[in-house]
Amino acid sequence: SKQWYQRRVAITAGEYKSYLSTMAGHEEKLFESIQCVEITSQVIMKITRHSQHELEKQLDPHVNGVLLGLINENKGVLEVTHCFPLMNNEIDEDIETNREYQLEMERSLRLVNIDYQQVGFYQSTYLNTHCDRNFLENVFVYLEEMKEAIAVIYDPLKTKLGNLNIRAFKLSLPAFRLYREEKDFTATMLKDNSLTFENLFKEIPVMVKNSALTNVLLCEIDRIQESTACLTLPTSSYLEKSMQMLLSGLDEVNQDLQKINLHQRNVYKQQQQLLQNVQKRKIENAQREKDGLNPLPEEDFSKQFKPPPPLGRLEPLLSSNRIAAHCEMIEEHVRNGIGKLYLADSFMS
Amino acid sequence: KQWYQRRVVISAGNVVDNFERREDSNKRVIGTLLGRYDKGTVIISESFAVPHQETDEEVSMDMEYANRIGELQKKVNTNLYTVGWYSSGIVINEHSSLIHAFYKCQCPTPVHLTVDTQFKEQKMKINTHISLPIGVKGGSEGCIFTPVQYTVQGSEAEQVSLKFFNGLKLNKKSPNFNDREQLLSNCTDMLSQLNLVLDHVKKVGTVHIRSSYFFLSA
Repeated sequence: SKQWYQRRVAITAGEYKSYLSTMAGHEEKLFESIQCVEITSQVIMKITRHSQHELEKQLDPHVNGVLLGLINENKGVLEVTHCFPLMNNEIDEDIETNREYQLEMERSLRLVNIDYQQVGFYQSTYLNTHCDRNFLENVFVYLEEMKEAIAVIYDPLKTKLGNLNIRAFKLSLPAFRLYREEKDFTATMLKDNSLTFENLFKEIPVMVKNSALTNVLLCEIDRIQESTACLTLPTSSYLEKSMQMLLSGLDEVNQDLQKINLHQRNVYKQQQQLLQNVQKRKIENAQREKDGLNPLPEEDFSKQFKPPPPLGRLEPLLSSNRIAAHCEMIEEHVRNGIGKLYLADSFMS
Repeated sequence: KQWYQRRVVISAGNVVDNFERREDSNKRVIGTLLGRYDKGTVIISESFAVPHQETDEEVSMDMEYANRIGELQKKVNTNLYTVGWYSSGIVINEHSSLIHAFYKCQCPTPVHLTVDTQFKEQKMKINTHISLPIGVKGGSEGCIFTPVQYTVQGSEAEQVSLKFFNGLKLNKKSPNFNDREQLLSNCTDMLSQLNLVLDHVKKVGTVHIRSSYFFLSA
C-alpha cells in the first residue's frame, strides 16, 4: 500500500505539473493576445479634460482613473470605450470612497448599456516620472485579475506643447511571473529570467478609432479655434526640466552603485573573516594535537558569520527605466526642435 | 437675460455614444449635464446618461439614478453642479417639458442641449435652449424653449487632441502618435491655408474684385 500511495502522489504531482504548464501556456497566450489597443476619441477627451481640471485646482496634476471596454479576441485588439476618473489616494478615506465609487459606477453603467468591464487604468505623468513602485504595483494588481489589462499613460505637458501623447504599457510576462512570487528581485533572479530594465515593461501600440456618428460630430465641431501649439518653437524650460530629472535619476543610480559596492565589500570581508577563523581553528587543533589534547570541534562558523542579505534590485531597475525614458524624450524633443528651428529660419530669410 | 454658454466637446460626444448604445425601444436618450456657473455664463463640462423610457403617451426616467450618480460625480469632481440635461433628437415636446421640470428642482435655470443624431437638416445640429414661462397669469400658462447662443471652447490640450482627431475623420485610419508625423500634418495644414490666402490675394490683384474681409482662422 506504500507503493500505491507513492504512485498516487507521483500521479497527482505529474497531473499538477501538467496543469501548471497548461495554465502557464494559457497565461502566456492571454498575455500575448493583445497586439493593439483601440481607444475612442471620447475616452481621450475625458482623460485630457480630467487632467486639465486637476491642473486648474492644484499644481500637482497626477490624475488616475479606470478604463472600461472589451476585448476583441479575433483581431487581438483591446477596445477602450469608456473611462471614469478616480480621486487621488491621499487620505485613507479617499481609498474607501474610491472603492465604493468604482462598484457603484460599475452597477450604474450596466443600466445604460455601457461596457462595464474594467480593462485597465490610466494615469498622467510628469516628464515620464510615472515609472515607480506604485505604478508597478497597480499594473500588477490589474494584471492579476485580467491578463489582458493595460495601463495608459497620458502626458499633459507634451500634449500642451502640441503633440498628443498617449501610450499603453503592461508588465512583460517574465516580470509579471517574478513579481508574483517575490516582491523584490535579486541579481540572480534577474539573470535567470534574463530581465533587464528594457524588457520590464512592454509597450503596446495605441490606435484611435471612432464610430461613424462620432466622426460626424467631429466634423460639426470643426469650428473650434485651430491649435497652433504644435508649431511653437521649443522653449528651454521643458528641456531644462527634463535634464534636471535626468540628473536626479543618475544620482539615484549612482547611489545604488555605491550600495552595491558596499555590499560586495561586506560580503568579501565576511568571507575573509570566515576563512581566518577556520584557519585559526585548524592551527589550534594542530597545536593541541602536538600537546596531546583533544582537538576542538570544527565549528560551523558560517552560522556566526551570516552574509548580509542580497540587495533588492527592483528600485534600480525602475530608475534605469526612468532614465532611459528621459533620454528618449529629450532626444525626440530636440529632434523636433531642430526641425522647427529650420522652418522658422526659412520664414525669416 | 442672455446666457452664453461654453461647452466642451465631451458632452456632445457622450450624447452620441449614449444614442448608439440605447435600447431599441427608445427613440431618444437623455442624460444630465454637469458644469458650473461663471458670471452669467454656464460652463458645461461633463455629462452622464440616465436611463429612461419614452412612448408616445408617457415618459418615465430613473430619477433616483440621476440623483445618485450626480452625487457620486460631485464627490470626484468637486466643483461641478447639475446645470441641465441633454437629449438626442431635435424634437422638443411635452415630455421634454416634464423632464425639464424635474431638472428645475436641481438648478435654477436648467439648460437643455439637443444633438440631432438623425440629421433632420443634413447635418448634426447642436442646439442649446432654456425654458421661459409664457402665457397669461391666471389663464393658460406654459413654457417655451428659446434657443441660446453657445460657443465651443476647450483648453490647449483638448484643442491639440481635437486637431489630432481631425486627420482621423476623413481617412478612417489612425494616424501615428509619432511627434514628427503630427508636426508634418500640422505643417501641411498650414501650407494649405497659406495657399488659400495667396489665391485670394492674387484674385483681388488681377481681377480687381472688391477685397472682402477674409477671416482666416489660425
